[in-house]
Amino acid sequence: MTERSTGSVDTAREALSSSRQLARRVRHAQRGTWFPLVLLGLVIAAAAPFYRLGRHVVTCDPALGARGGVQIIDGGACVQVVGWPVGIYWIVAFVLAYAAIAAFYVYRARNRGVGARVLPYVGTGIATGLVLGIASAWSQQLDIVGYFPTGPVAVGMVPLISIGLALFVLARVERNWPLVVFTTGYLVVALLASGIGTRRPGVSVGAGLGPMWGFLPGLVVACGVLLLGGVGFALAERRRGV
Amino acid sequence: MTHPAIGLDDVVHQRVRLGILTVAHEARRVEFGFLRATLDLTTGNLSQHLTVLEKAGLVEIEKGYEGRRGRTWIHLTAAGRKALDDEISQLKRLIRQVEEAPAADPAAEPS
Repeated sequence: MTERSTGSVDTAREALSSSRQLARRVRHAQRGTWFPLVLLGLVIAAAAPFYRLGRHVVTCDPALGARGGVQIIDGGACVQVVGWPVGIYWIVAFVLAYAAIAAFYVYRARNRGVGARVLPYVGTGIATGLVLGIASAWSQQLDIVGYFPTGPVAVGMVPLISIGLALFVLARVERNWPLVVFTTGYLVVALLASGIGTRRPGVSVGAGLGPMWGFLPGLVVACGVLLLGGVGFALAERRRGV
Repeated sequence: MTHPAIGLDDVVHQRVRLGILTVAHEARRVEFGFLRATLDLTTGNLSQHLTVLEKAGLVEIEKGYEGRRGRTWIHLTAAGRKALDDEISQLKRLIRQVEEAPAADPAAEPS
C-alpha cells in the first residue's frame, strides 16, 4: 500500500464518517417522538367514558346469552357491549390527534429549520385507526364477524394496536431504533392488559371492577405506558440538547 | 475497471458540499440557518457552496417569508440524490479496493 493510497483512503473514511455524523445530527433534530406518545396517551385516557357508554346491564339467561350484541357474563349478570359510541369516539379522536401531530411537526420544522417526512406516519395512523376501529365497532353491521376479531376484547384492543402499528411507521420515518423497541413493548403490554388469552377479558385484569368497568385496566395501562414513554423520549431529547 | 477515485465528482467531492447534500438528503427540506449552524460556516461561504450545487442542478433553493422574516429553504433534487449516492458508493469502493489490495513487498520498494 503506498502512502498516497493510504492518504486517499483516510480521506474517504473521514468523509464517510463525517457524513454519518451529520446524518445522525439531522435525525435527532427532526425527532419529536414525545409529542405523539403523550397526545395518544391522553386520547386513550379520554376514551374511557365512551367505553362505559357502550355497556348496558341486560336481563338474560346466562346459558343462552343476550340477544343483539356482544356480551359479558359475569357472576350471573349479563352486560351487553355496543361498539358504536367508542367507535365514533376513535374516528373523531384519531383524525383530530393525527392532525395535531402533523401540525406539531410542521411547527417544529419551521422552528428548527429542518423538515421531517411525517406524512406517512399521519396517513398510516388515520388509515389504520379508521379501518380497524370501524371494523371492530361495527363488525356485526358490516357482516365481518367471521373475518375480524369481535367482542369486548376487540373493541378495546384494536385502537391500541392501530396506535402501535402507526408508531412503527414513525420509528421508520425518524429512523429511531429506541422507538421500535418501545413500541414492541407497548404492544405486548397493551395486548396483555386487554386480556388476551384470558377466559374473561378485562374482568380478570380488572379484578373487582366488574363487567361494566372491566375495560379500564387495559386503557390505564396503555395510556400509562405511552405517557411514560413520552416523558422518557422528551428527557432524552433534552439531554441531547436538540 | 477504473479506479474509484476517477469516478468522484469534483462538485460533490468537497467536504462542505458533501455535508450540504448529506443534510439535505436526510431532511425533506432544510433551512439556510440550520445548514449554516450544523456545518459551522459563515453566511458567505455557505452561499458560495449552495450556488455551485444549484448551478450543477443538485439542489433547489426556495426563498420565502415566514411573517416578516426572510427564509431560504434548500431541497435536494433527484440528480442531487443520485450524485450523493454515487459519491458514497465510490468512497466505499475506494476503501474496499485499497484494503483488499495485497500489501506491497518492502523489498521491491526503491531505496
